[in-house]
Formats: sequence, structure tokens, C-alpha cells
Amino acid sequence: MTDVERTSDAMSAALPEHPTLLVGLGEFGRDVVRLAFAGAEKKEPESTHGAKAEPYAARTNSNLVVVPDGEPDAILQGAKQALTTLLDLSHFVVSTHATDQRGPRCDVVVVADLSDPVACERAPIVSARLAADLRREFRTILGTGDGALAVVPILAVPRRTSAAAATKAFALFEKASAGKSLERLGGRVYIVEDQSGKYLLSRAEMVRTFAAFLHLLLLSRLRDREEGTRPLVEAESRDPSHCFATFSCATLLFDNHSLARKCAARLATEILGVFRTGNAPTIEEIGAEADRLTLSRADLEVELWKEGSGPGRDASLLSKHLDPPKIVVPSVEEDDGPEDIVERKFGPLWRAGVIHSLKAFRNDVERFKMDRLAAEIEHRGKACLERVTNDLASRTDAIVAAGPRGHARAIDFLREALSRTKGDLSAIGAAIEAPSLSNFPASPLDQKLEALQSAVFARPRPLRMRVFGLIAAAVSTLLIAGLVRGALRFLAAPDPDFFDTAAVLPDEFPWILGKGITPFLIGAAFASTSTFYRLYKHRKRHHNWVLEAQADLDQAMVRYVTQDMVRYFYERLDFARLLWLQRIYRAYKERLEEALYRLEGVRAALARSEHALAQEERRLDERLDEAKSGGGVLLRGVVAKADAMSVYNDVRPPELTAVAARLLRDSLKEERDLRAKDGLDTFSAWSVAPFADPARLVNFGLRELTTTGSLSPFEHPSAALAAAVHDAVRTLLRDVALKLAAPLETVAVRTTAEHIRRLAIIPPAARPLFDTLFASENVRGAWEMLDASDDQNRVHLLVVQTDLDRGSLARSGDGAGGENH
Amino acid sequence: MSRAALFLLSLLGAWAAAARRHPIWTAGIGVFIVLLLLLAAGRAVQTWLEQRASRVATGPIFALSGIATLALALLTALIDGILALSGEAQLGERFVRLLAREDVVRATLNVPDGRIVLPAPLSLPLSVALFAIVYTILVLWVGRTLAEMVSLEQKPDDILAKERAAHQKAIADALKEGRQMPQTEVVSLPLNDDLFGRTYKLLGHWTSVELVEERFVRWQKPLVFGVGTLLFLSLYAAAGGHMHPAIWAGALLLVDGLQKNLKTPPKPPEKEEQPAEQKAAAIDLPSVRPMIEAVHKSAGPLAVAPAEPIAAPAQISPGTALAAKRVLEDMLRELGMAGGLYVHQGLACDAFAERRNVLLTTPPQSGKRTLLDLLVFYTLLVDSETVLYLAPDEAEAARAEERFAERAEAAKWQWNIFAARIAGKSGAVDPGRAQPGLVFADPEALHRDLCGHQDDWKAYLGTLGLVVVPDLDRYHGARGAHLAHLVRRLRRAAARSSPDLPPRASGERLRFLATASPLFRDLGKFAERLIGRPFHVLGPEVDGAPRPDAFSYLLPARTAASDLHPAVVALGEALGVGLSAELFGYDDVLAATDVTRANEIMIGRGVATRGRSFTDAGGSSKALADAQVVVARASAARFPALSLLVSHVGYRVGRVPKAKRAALGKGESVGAGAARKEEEIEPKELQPEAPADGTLTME
Repeated sequence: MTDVERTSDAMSAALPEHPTLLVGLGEFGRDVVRLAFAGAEKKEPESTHGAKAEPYAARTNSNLVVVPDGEPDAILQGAKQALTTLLDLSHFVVSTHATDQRGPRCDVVVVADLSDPVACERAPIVSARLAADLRREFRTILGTGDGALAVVPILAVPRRTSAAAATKAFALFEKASAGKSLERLGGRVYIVEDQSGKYLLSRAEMVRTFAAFLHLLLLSRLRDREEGTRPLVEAESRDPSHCFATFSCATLLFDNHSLARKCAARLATEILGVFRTGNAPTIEEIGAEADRLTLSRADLEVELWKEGSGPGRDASLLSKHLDPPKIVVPSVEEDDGPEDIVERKFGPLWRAGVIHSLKAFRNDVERFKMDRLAAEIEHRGKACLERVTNDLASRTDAIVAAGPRGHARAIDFLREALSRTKGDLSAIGAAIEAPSLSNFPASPLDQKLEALQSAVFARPRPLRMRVFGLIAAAVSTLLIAGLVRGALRFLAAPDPDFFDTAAVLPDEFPWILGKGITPFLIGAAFASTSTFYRLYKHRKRHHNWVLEAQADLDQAMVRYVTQDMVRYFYERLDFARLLWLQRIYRAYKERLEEALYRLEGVRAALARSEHALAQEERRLDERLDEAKSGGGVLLRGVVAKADAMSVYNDVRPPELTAVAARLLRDSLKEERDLRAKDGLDTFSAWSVAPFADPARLVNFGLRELTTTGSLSPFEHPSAALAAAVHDAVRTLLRDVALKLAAPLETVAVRTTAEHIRRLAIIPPAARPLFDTLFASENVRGAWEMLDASDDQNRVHLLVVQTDLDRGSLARSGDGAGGENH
Repeated sequence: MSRAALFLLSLLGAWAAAARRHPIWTAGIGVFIVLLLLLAAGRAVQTWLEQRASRVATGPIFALSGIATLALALLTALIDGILALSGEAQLGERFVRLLAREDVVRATLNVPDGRIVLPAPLSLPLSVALFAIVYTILVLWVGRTLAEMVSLEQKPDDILAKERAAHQKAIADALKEGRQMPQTEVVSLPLNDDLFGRTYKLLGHWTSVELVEERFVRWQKPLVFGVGTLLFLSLYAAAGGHMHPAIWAGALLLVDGLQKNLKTPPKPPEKEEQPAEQKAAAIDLPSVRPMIEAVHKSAGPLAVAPAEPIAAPAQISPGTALAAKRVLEDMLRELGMAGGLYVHQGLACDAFAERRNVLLTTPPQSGKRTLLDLLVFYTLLVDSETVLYLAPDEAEAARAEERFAERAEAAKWQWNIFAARIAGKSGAVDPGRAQPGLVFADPEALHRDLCGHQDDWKAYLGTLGLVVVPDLDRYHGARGAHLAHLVRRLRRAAARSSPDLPPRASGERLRFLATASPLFRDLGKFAERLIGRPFHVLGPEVDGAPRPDAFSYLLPARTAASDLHPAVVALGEALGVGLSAELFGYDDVLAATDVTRANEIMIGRGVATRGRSFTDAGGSSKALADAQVVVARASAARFPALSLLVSHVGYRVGRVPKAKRAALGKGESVGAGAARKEEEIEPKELQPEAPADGTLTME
């Protein structure tokens, strides 16, 4: 970790009260600026839409703008642009208090190392032009208005600095400070050498002490207080010739941001653990949920169209809906002649009437009723398709939102549902590929009519039967009588002889049967009964045949119009429904696949997020450790990695599952709200895995760990943190309280002691601790306690010497020291 | 006493003596001989009668005579019975006593005393013979009036049949045209109600004196058979004298008469007259030579086209990779492609099944449009995906919609295919209620509705699986650029409405099926630039459609020899020789009156057919397929492609070799279903019905 990173994050904890421009000249200046306010030096991001990017200050509402180094004109131009932004009304309104009636107090801090010839040459020029040109540019505000401008050069003057160049620069600074009211600097000119009366300062320590001083000046929010840092910035109403000053600043930086992020990242990682690991659903759970997720073909068929599924069962029957015609088949009476039946009752007109009825029915159904039914299926199909996909989306959303492990459970459920859906789709596809669509059924009319005609033509006419029945019966009677007589004579033969017709049989039984009318009676009995029975049976059978043919015709026509024709249309409708089923199932399958694809994406996002958080944790750990142990003397940290873990353990929520559930709920709600605002589908909010976004997770952790981040380290409930702070302050005081000295050689004759101040600038909460430690460590000395700093995360020990004129500077050619040199 | 009487008496005496000695044989032989004589006489009489009147049945006369003879026999038996009971001489004794004195009779017949009774074996055949004579005489007597029996018919069968046919036609017309049915009925009328009419009706006839009713035969036959059986069984009693021989003889003749009546052919059941199946008349094309000479005379020298198309059979694809074979067969049948798909069509189906974009650039008349229709139906009915038919303009969209509607209705798929046309009319569909599966659009409608209201059409776009772009070559210049942008927008809209799935390993979710005329180069690249996706291009090199034999002639656009435009002359001469000719693409040169003038030339040749002019695409496809002569304009730019363009013209009438299964080389495959064997199939539409002189294309 570098100092730059540490302080850049720290900077965000506090910001200047007034518009402030920071100009770092040369390498040293840039290093100081980068260490102190690296965040403000970030590159302007390129616009993704091609529009001009807003200035950083405008976007962050920060009052601090770092003006890039360069030629004086470029610096001046950048400064003007920056100040234009900072003085904009909207920015002014936002960045000032409601009760603040004053104008803006603009500070321009120019940091330079005079040992750098270029910087040494530019620093006085840039400072002077900034003061003059900015006042000229914004005269109404900074010249004659309520505002004010102070250009504060902070100059490093290491031993290797050319004396001549330094002398020249000092003269120019003095000149600039003493100029006209609209052209003078208006701020103090700080000169810091790399040696004090007690020690040498390495370049790194110089950078740190400069950065610490900038923090003190700009972030402690004591800028406007006379007892605060205002005298350190402004030189108004003072003798312009005594514009020079020097400082030595040691700062203890509590990297609250890193600590908070570390804790938040730790918490986020543990929350992610809740999301990523857990029990898989049982087979029973998967089966039960898959049942709910899988489409029911029977239900869909009912929803699309189902015979008898309407509110009134009978009314929704297809046969009722189509309203087939009633074919009136005439009855056949016993005494109907065949011509009456064939030519009148079942004649061509009747047949044509039936054909006409069938044709009209078919036309009516094909042109209107089937179209309406098919259109209704289309309408229901569309509604059904939308419903099932919406149901799936909402159900998936509900499963995912049910708990941190919802997404993992949803994968199991949806996989099972997908498997079942594929099976159903395959079955439907097979049914479609081999449809049972028969051709329009042939009418049985002609066939049955022909059968009826055959029956009718076979039925005998009664008169003929009576006449010929009588004749046949009479003849048969005579023949049977002869048969009887012949038989008796045959039986009686040879006595009398069979051919002896004159011989007479005895008058006794059975021979008496052949005498008189007896054989005729016998013949009549047999002949009449058998003939009558035979003819009656014939007539009856054929009449029944006619009746059966008539009934068969009747039933066939009823069956044809109410079953065969209806079945034909039913098959067509069923096929239409089948096509919609396939369409719905296919869409549903694709939606399931899409949901699974996204759920797998969520799982991958969680894994990526965990990895990113681990990296972030490592980075923060390194930063804390380095700040604590390797941050130098004049700018040092408070907590190390181990301290951070101890602090986290103090503030860690006891129940992570509930926290994870809250994260899930909050993140989904937030995403849904955003989607609702954009008019997007809210059910798929989970698909972007908002709960797996590392930034969101860390922010959630920060919010969740309310005891980190916003609280002062001196009032923090964490015992571990209190101990760390106590140790760090004690170490700081021990190290530098009695050793810190102004790093500037002056000519003692012209220096007044009252211009040297030793200030401990601390937040109010740190006062007890400092009092205690100053006493306990016996290092109180001449330190003034200024416990009004708004910056909760920094404490500064500042030694400052002001109101020096050029002559008192030992390295100035005009001074005594210079003369001595 | 005459000698004849004595001879007869002596004959009877000898017969009686034989009867006393051998009664059974005598009776049997006697009855047998008499029966033979009776049958012979009956057949002879019947034949004679039938020759006298061909449309009158003789059976009733025999039956009537049999009944009368039976009545006479019964009367005879009754008289004999009465005489016997009163002790008087019976009719037989009285008859033989007429032949000679009693003593002579007794001596001859060997009856010394008592009543003279002939032995039964003698009296039975004698009675049969006597009554048969009476029976035959009666038949002959009644048969004299046979020819007059026709007048008994009040409505002969032929008249009745005509009336019925006319009645049926009137009913059919009424049914067809939706008019009111004829109110009058056509009924048959029975025979006259006089004596003979009633007799005929009683004896099985009703409306016709020729045919006996089936119903009568049905019950009369067993009745006659029963009496006949009794007759046979009682023969021994009659031969033994225990039954009066007249009764037996009368019964026999009754049975004979009735049986002859039953032999009359029964009336066949009435059947509706089926219209004779009209066989398609074989096309006998006249020679084109006179026409060529006439045109030559009028228009100057004719040039033969550079490359004559060679007649080639249809190359039938052995199968396709499309999965639903059964539905596919149904579709092919409904689309008139029962013989199978041509090779290029099969290849297109294979690529389609692999979900690739297909561009078909085969020549006109090669079945491109039919393939489009097939794959559209397949996508709708099997894949259950929605289809966009992107026609070049509103008129083409309307024609396509009409064609699909006709095909869907013919196949009864109209309830499974919800089609709508948005080309040229906005708001034709309410996408909020139901969304069509098949949309006919032009680029403007695509821009306005589908792309302009994507949220409304989300369900349709989400299942969009096929975009059909016919005549892709028409999209050049600004139209092409416009289409390219539209298609990209459409693809984005479809992707937005579809589920977000990982990219397919192969195949396109949204397929494009395009056709183009094979007149331009690099059509595949052109299609890929327009649509923005790779295309599988099938060009003339895989064309499997049949090519008829044809001649092509070129004639100059202008000639000084005639006032008429050469195209008009060619059309008129073609019509004049009796060829059906069509005129294409002359809308900016010729008017409808020119076609009329061509028809006048034809009428001047005494030929009556008709010529037409096609200036738009509607109906031209069928006309090109059926035309025997096509007169068309060909620009110089299209001259090299002329043989390609006309290669399939007139394939329905030209001589086309038999279709064959595509012979595949090693490693080639057309469809997953490989040909089982090399068998010849003959699609119906490919069979030439008559030799044709060919299709003539002229310029």
C-alpha cells in the first residue's frame, strides 16, 4: 500500500469548507497532492454517451479541485475553469450552509519544491498570476464582492536548493504579497526546509508533513476560525513583508474508511458464504416444488378449450355448441306401400332436404362456429402463454427471494421442472407429428337409404299373399288329403291291393281317417296353418326389416350429425389446441432454460463476488498493516489488520442468516424499484444478482455495521479499537511531542518568539485522551490544545512559525543569514 | 263307331291291361312322358309368345292359365264326386262309352261288370295330358293379346327414369345454387286398374308388364316349391287312384304356371344414375410448323435460341431430414406433390431442418413457391413457430394471403392457421387479444407495425421462427438498404422478445427462407448482406424439376411486313393452329385490344380457343405451366439466360421423361431418409397425356 492510497480514501472522510484549488508544481508538488488528495486528482472518466463529462467537483460536490501541473498559462486556465465550477450557483448552494451569508473564501494552495529549478521559477509566477488573474476574472466575487481569495504557496526548500534561485523566489513572493489589493497573494508563504533545529527530514517525511499540513488546513474545518487555522492561511491586514511562515506537522491518521471497508468486506464475505453454502433441497421438496412449476397438460387443455369444461357443462359441449340439425326420418307404417315409402316419405325431395340440412350445417360450422372456436382458442392460447410465463417468472422470483439459498434451490427445482416439461413437450410433438385427423366423414344417408329401399322392395304386398295363400292352401289341402288316403291304402296293402280303388277299407281307426271328408279336414288343417304361418312370418320379417332399416337410417343420421361430423370438427379443434399446447410448452421450456441460465449466472456472480471481496480484504489488510507499521513518523496510522479483525469481531452481527436475508430483500427491492421506474420486468430483478454486487455488498456491510465508519475512534464502543487508538496516540506523543520543531533556519535577531505556536489540533472527543496522555507521558510542554476539529479521524501536532519577513530567512540573500552565507 | 274311336279304345284297353299288370311302371312312364311333352310344349309356346312381344312378360299368362286349369280340374273332380255319390256314371265312363258300345268297351277294357273305371295308372297321365292341352290352349288364347299388354303401363320405366333424372338434376341445382327445392315429386304409377292390369299386378307386376317384383318372387317361390313338393309326394296317391287325377293334374299345371311366372326376370333395384366419369381427353397437339411458317412470313427470319433445353425427368428427392414424416406426407398430398419433392426442394428441406437460412435461386416453374408454402405450413403446424411472409409489396402480400387461405381451407387447416395481413392496412390485427401465427407484410408494414409496436407483438415476435422473403432480387438499391435495416431491427426485436438463452451450437433461432430469380451473380452474398446472416444457397445446379422438350425462337421486336406487333401475330397464329397460347410481359407495348386482335386472327382460321395476356404475377404461374405456346419479351440482357428461364415452362403439357429418384453419388445424401431402392415413380402431374410439339418461346 502506498501513502497515496491511504490518504485518498481518508480524504473522503472530510472535505474543505470553501472552494479550494490545489496546484502541485513539479514532482514534489505532485507527490504531495497525490498523497494528500489522490481522489481529487483522478482522471475525468470518459463519457459513455459522448457528452462532455462534468467536472469532478461538480459531480462530487467537493470544494477541492486539483489543478494539473504544467505551463503557467495552462495552470491558470485550469484554475479558472475549476473555479468557475466551484463558484457556480448550484455548487455554491449545495456546498454552503443555509445560514452562511458570506461569500466564498477561495483558497489556492501552491505546493512546490524550490530545489526543482523549473518549479522554483514557476512557483512565484504561478502564485502571483493566480492571485491577480483569478481576482480579475471573478472580480465581482473575489475583488469587490463578499468573497475572498488567498493564494498560499507551501514551499519546500531542501538544502540542495540554489541559494540564488531561492532568494529570487522569496523576493518574488514577497513582491507578490505586497502588491495591489487585487493582485497580492492574500495568503501566507510557507517555507519548509529539510532540517530543523533537531533533526533532518527525508524527502518522504517532507511529503508526509506537507500532506498532513494540507489535511490540517483544509479538512479540519477550522478555516474560518480566528483561533483555528485562519491565521495560518490568510495574511490580510498584516504586514505584507512579513508574509513568510514555516510549519512542522505530525498527524495520526485513523483510517476509518479502510477499517470500515475491511469490516464490511468481511461481513459481505460471510454473507456470501450464507448465499453460497447450505443444504440442498430434499428429493421430496424438489418433487413437490417441481409439481407446482410443471405445467399440467390437462389443466392447460381445459384452459384452452375443453368440451364440457364451461360453466354450464351441457352448453359447452361441442355437440351442443355446434347445434347439429335434427334430421326428421319419417316413420313407416304397416300399410304403407313401397311406393309411398320410397317415393314419398324417403323420396328424392326428402333426401335433398337432408343433404341441404347437412350442407347448411357444415357451412355454418365451417364458416362461423369453427372460426369462432378457433379464434377463441387463439385468444386463450395467447393469454395462457402469457400467464404461464408470468407465473413461472413470479414463482422463480418468489423462490429466489425466499431466502439466501433461494437461487440454489431454484436451480434444483427448475431442472426437475425442465426435465418434466421436456418429456411432456416430446409427447405433444409426437402427437402433432402423427395427427389423427381423419377426412370429413362420408354421409351414411345414401347407404342407409339404399338399405331402406332394399328392405322396402323386399316387403311383400298383402293382397297377393292372401290370394295366393288361399290358392296354395286349397291345393295343398287336396294334395294332403290324397297323400293321407294314399298313405292309408299303402299301409293297408296288400289287403286290399293298393291299386284296387274299388276295395273299401274297414270302418275302424286308423282306416277311418281316409274316409269321407276326414282327409280333407286333415289337409285343410295342415295346409292352412302352415301356409298362413309361412306367409305371415315372411311378411312380418320383411316389415321388421323395413322398420330396422328405417331406425338404422334414423340412428345413422343422428350419429352422423351429432358424432361423426362433430368428431371431425373436434379433431380439428383438438389439433389447434395441440399446436397451442406445443407453443406454450416450448415457450415454457425456453423460459425454464432461460431462468436456469440466469440462475447459473447468479451462482457464478456470487463466486466472482466472493473472489473480489477476498481481494478487497487482502488489499485493505495490507493497507492497514502498512499504515500502522510502515507509514513514517509524521503521518501514521492507528489500526493494523489484527486490530481490524478484533474490531470486526466486536461489531459483527450475531446472526448472519437474518442479515443475508435482509440483504437479499433490500437488494431485490431496490433493483425492482429501479426496474419499475425504467418500465422493465420486475420479476427478473434477481437475474442481475444485485445481492452479489461487491460494491453493493460492501455498502450493505457498511450500513449494517453501524458502529464502524461514522463514529469517532475516540468514542467507538469497540474495546479493541479503543485500545488501538490509545496505543497509537501514546506512541505519537512519545515520539514527537517534545521533538517537533520548525524546519526553517531563521535569523534569530529578527524573529519574535510570539510567532511560534505549538498546537495539538484534535476532535473534541479526543480531548480526554490527550489530556490523560499528555499528563501520563509528561510531554505536555507548550502544546496548545485546539479540540475543535471536525475531522474525527485525524489528530495533528503542529509547530508553526509565522510573520517572518524575507530578511529573517537565513537562506534569503537579503537576510542576515544570507548575509552570513 | 269310327275306326279312330275303336283304335283309341283298343289303345286304352292295351294301356289298361299294362296298368293292371305293371301299375307303377305304367303310371311312372306315363306321367313322365306327359310331363316331357308338357314342358316341351310350354317352352315352345313361351318362346313363341315372347317373340310376339318383347317387353311383356309371359309368366303371368301361364300363371293365369294354370289357375284357370286348376279351377277346371277342381270342377271336374267335383262333378265326378257328385256323380259317384249319386251312383251315376262318372265323366271317364261316359267318355269311353262315347267311343263304342258298352259291351265292346267292357271287353276291351276288361271290365266285365260294374262301373267302367279306368285304372288309375292310366287315368293320371291321361288327365294330365288332357288338362295340359286345355292349359296350353288357354295360354295361346290369352297370348294373342300379349302385345296389347304394354298399354297397361301408365308410366313406363324409361319415362320414369327420365323424369327422375330431371328431378335429381333440379334438386342438385337447387342445392348447389341455394334455390328452393322443386315441390313436385316424381312418383311411379302402377299398371292400369282393369282386369289384366289387376291380374298382372296380382301376379307380381306393378308398374311394368315386363319385370316381376323382387318382393313377389321372394315369398312366391317357396310357396310354389311347397306345393310342388306336396304334388310330388302325392304322386303315388294319384297314381294309385286315391286322389282324383284331375286334382293332381290341375295342381301340376298350377305349379307349372306359377313357376313360369317366377322365371320372369325380377325388376332390378333402382339406382341413381351415376354420371359417367369423364375421361380427360387426350391432348392432341397440332403441329407448330404452320404457325412457324406464318410467323416467319409475317415477321421475317426467325432465329433459333442459342441453347435448346434438353428434356429431362424430374429428379425426386428420396426423403428429407424433416422430422414429422406423416404430417409432411399429408402436406405434400394437399399441395399436389404426392409424387415427392424435387431434389433441390429436398435439399432446401434438409437445410431448413438444420435451422439454416436458405436461398433458392432455381429457374421459374421449379417449385419454389410450393416449397415456400410447404415450409410455412410445416413451421406453423409442426414446429409451432410463427411465420412472417415478407412480400415485396402490398399486392403480392394479398396474393400470397389468398393462396395460403385457399390451401389451408382445402386441407382443412384453416382453424389451425391464424393468418393475418398487415400489408397496406394498419390495425388489421388486434395483437392485444390474439396474435396470428402467419403474418403477411411488406417492408412498410414491417416497419410500421411489427417493429413499431414491438411490445404489442411480443408474443408473436417471441415465437417467430421463420421469415419468408420471396423475390429477394427485387430488393436492390434503396429498397435493399431499407430492407437490410428493417431485417436487423426485426432480428433485434425478435431477440428481445425471446428468452435469453445461451447461443445455439448450430442453427438459427430465426430462420430466413428466400427465393430469387437466377439472373444475377453472387445472390448468396447479396442475401447475406441484406439479411445479415449466412445463407445456404441452392441454385440451378441442383434443380430437380422436370424439363419438357421445347423449341425457342426469336423474332424481331419490329417488322415492316405487318401492321401488327410480331407478338400479336405470333399469338394469333399460335391460337390459329389450335395451341393454347399465353402472352407475357407486354404491358407497356400491347394492350388488351391487341389480344383481341390476336383472337380475331384465330377466329379467322376457324379455331375456337382463347388467348390471354398476363401483365402481372397473379395466375401467371399456372398459365406458364399449362401453356403450349408462350410469347414473351426477352431483353438483350436476359438473352444468355433465356434457356435457363424457360427450362420448365410448359412442363404440364410438354413431353417429359418419367420422374426418377435422384441417383446419389457416394457420400451424398438428400435427406435422412435414404432411397430404399432405385424405383421409378411417376408423379401425376408429370405424366404427359399426349405427345406435344413443345413449348415455343418467341421474341
